[in-house]
Amino acid sequence: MSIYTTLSSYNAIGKSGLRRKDGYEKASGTGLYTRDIYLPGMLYAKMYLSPYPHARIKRLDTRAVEAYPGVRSVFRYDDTWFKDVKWENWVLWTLSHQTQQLLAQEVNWTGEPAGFAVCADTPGICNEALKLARIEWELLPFEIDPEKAVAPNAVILQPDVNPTTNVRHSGSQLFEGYEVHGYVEKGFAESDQVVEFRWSEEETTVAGVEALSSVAVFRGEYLEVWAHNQIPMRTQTLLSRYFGNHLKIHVHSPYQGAQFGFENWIIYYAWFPMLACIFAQRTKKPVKHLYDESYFHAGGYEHGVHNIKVGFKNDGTIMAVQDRSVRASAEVHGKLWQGTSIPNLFGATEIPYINRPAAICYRHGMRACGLWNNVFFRVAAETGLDPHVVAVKNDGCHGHPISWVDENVKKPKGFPVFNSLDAVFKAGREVFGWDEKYHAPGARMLPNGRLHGVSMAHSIAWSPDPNLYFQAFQMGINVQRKTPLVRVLARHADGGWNHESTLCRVVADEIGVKYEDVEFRPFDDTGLDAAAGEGSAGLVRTLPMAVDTARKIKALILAQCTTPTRAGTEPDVVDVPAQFQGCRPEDLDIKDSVVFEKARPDNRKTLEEVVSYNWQYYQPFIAFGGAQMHHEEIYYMGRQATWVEVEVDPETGEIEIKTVVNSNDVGKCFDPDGVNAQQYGGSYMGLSHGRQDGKVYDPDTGVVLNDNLIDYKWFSFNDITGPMHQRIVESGLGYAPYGAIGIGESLGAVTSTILAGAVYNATGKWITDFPITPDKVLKALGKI
Amino acid sequence: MPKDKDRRTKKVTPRESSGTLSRRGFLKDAGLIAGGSIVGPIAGVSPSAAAVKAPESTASEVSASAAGAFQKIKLTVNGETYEVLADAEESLRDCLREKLGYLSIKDMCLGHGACGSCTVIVDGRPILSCLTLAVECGGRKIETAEGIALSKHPLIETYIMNYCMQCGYCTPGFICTSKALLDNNPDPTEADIREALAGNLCRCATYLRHIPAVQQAARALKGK
Repeated sequence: MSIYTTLSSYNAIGKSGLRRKDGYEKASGTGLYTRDIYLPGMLYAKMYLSPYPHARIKRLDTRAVEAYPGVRSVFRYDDTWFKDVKWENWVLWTLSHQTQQLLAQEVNWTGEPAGFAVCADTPGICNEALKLARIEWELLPFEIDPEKAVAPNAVILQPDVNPTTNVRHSGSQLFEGYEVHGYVEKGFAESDQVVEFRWSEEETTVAGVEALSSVAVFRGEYLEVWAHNQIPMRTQTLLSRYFGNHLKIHVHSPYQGAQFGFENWIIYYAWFPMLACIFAQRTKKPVKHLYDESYFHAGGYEHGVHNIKVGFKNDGTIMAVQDRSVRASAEVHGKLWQGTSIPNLFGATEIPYINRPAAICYRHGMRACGLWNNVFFRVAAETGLDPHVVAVKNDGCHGHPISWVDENVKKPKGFPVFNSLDAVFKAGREVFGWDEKYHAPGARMLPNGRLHGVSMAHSIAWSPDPNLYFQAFQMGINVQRKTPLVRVLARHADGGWNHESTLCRVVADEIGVKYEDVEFRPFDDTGLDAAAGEGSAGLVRTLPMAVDTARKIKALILAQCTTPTRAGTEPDVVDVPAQFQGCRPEDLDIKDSVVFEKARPDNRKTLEEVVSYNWQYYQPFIAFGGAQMHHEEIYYMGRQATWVEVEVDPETGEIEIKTVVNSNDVGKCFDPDGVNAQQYGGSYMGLSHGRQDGKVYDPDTGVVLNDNLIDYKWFSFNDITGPMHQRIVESGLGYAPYGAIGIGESLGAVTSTILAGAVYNATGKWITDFPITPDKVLKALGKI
Repeated sequence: MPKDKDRRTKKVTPRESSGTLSRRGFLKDAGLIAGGSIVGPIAGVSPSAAAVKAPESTASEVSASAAGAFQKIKLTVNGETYEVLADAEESLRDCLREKLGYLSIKDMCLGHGACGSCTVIVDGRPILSCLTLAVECGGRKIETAEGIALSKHPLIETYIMNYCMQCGYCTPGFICTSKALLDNNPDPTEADIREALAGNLCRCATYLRHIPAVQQAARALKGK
């Protein structure tokens, strides 16, 4: 049976109000996070962090550190360990301007772990000891502005790597950041209008709420690790390169405090637990490595500047888009190609070395959505067309209109011929009240003296590349004898999106058992590649394995129901008749944990009876599965849209966010509460990025001035004051089973730049330098 | 809806004395001024007696500190009374979490008093345990999320059913603030809930769902 096959009916799938499997642990505070792991005799480790944005350690004296009472071990950048293990400097596949190192000798950003780390009895002793090192630094020139870094007269930051330019060239398309389709000059020539503008975004932090930590302990020849990450398997693989047999390393990933995305954390997954392991090996004690500052330094969107040129017809048809950007990471332009009919696209991103933390590729990040949004906002404004009209006019895939996609993708590949964008708009536009609220730019002042504005941003719905991930996932299912309990056997990797419950929904409906009878508990030592999905779109990635495995276990159950057996040894051999005599497996089905004959539903047994029946004579109900898929070319056919209403105070420059409406085509919805959580949660985060998130650097020293949650403010409860409405569309246009698409990252990304359109609608002024802080508003209004 | 311009300081303001916030009151609530409940220093107490019922010893921490800096206090946590040797500078958060094992108390902002994830209820008021000295809480009644759950308070179930968590790291702090709200206001409006929870940060932004969860719990409490 193909995993594309849908079920004839759904019970747990799609139902709202089901109890979260992780709910009690999280509400009661009894769920364990990595920071909550305490082992008897545990020591603590912390790293020294660079006070300079670019400097080299000339001499490091750690004698006072080593002599401090309570210090058990010191690990330095010049340790022989690096030679012993053929340390590779962890270039990894860092998708960024930076090369992350473990305890750098030459630091490239303020706050970078540098020089040495200390292991001591308590975190407090670590902190005190870290202050005692005597370091002689060679200060090097630094640059935190990417545009200045690529200017002709820029100081060369990495002369050993490239003596002539700061632009990093790795030879791959991803690093160089080029995207070329058609001929933009031809498109501009065919356009009625051509506009040029610039937009930029400041570097942000994900401000992951649980600062990174890891715990390691050697138990004889076995290494056990607790790591705060979404990819325990990858951590296990990397650790095995330095600590021996893969099978003897066990990595647990407990619950994780808000860590957004997973690709952007790879560098930390790789080397961060390493220090705990090194110290554990040397001290023969359990060691917890605390990277308290990581919640601010790790992850986040990078600083970027874009110079955009757009050509379009007066009817809103976009003929060509050119984007020349300078930023710390690429992956900017592909999305615009994947989800529009724009025939001519040229995107070029220069990625220079600058002295900021590593920033990593988000496929749907603020960069890609910012480009998309700003292009569509400008075309609508310049043509005077409703933004919905411009969106529909340019809807498509890979430069083709959506009608082409209908004929050449949906029909031949068996997808429903369904117009996702239309459906998404219908679901959200009316509830927002767009037709009543939309007006000419700067045309509506409210009685309270504020300027009213609205905006709509659309995008392709979030979905990972199925070719990249589907083949990596495996899991098991065990149906316990004598009880109807169905247990999912898989590795734990929770990120908060309730993936475990969703897997249980799928397993329940595929087998035909009650949701309450399916349990997911971490089985980290099964050796299976993955379980709970990595990332908020993890469901799409892991769904094939769940469907595949559930169908195998169902087949086992029905086969046993129809199979007599003869068991035992002489003279105690016994005949065991089939439970459903005269039936074949295909004559039976399971629903609500009851096995029944389809033609005679009264012929039925509870699942508990079935699995308890002469259990000692039958094989156990256990199955493992996975799925490998390959598609020649992926078309992202699902769409999403967000509407936002704001009030801009012309006296203070403050933007108050009122109504927010999200509408998202998820292909097939498994957990409505979870989908909606991604929608309103993503809106809060994205709008926070658009209005106030942003690191503040001192240009004279390269030091971050707001590296704490007092000074770096992200949205709290009342930063959105009006109603928020969520709408879910199910088109079946995804590549995963049941046509699922996914949801997650793009909600935060799409909404991150939507305020540009709303502020323009309110004030008639373009502000595209994100975040749009009050000073920028007042400046645009000529007040300062 | 009231704009939350002062969310960082509101968190430690007594909820019942709305309006007046003195500097001394703020500092006292935040634990920066020693109150009258401090027990005198106890000389010569062995480090192993640092805590009764503590899940693990913090002997090294104790030995590294100056003798005489510890004070013996009694903490009543979720109905259990503990005798604790607390360092004069020790936060209530560290004392409850590290010595007594109440791991629901989180540390999102790492002690800046900016996030609300370390919220516990002390004598009926939600306070930031990271900015409160342990020695100031001697003899006081402390509630944590674990205790609220064990008491089968309806908030736990309404939080689960209303999807008030994603990653869940901040959730116990929200539970404590909401429970304190309901203790003082059995029929909170949406504005009351927004006001009360304004100091609790959730990066997953589950905020909206806390409104029906708290109101459903309020109804359940009335029905008891």
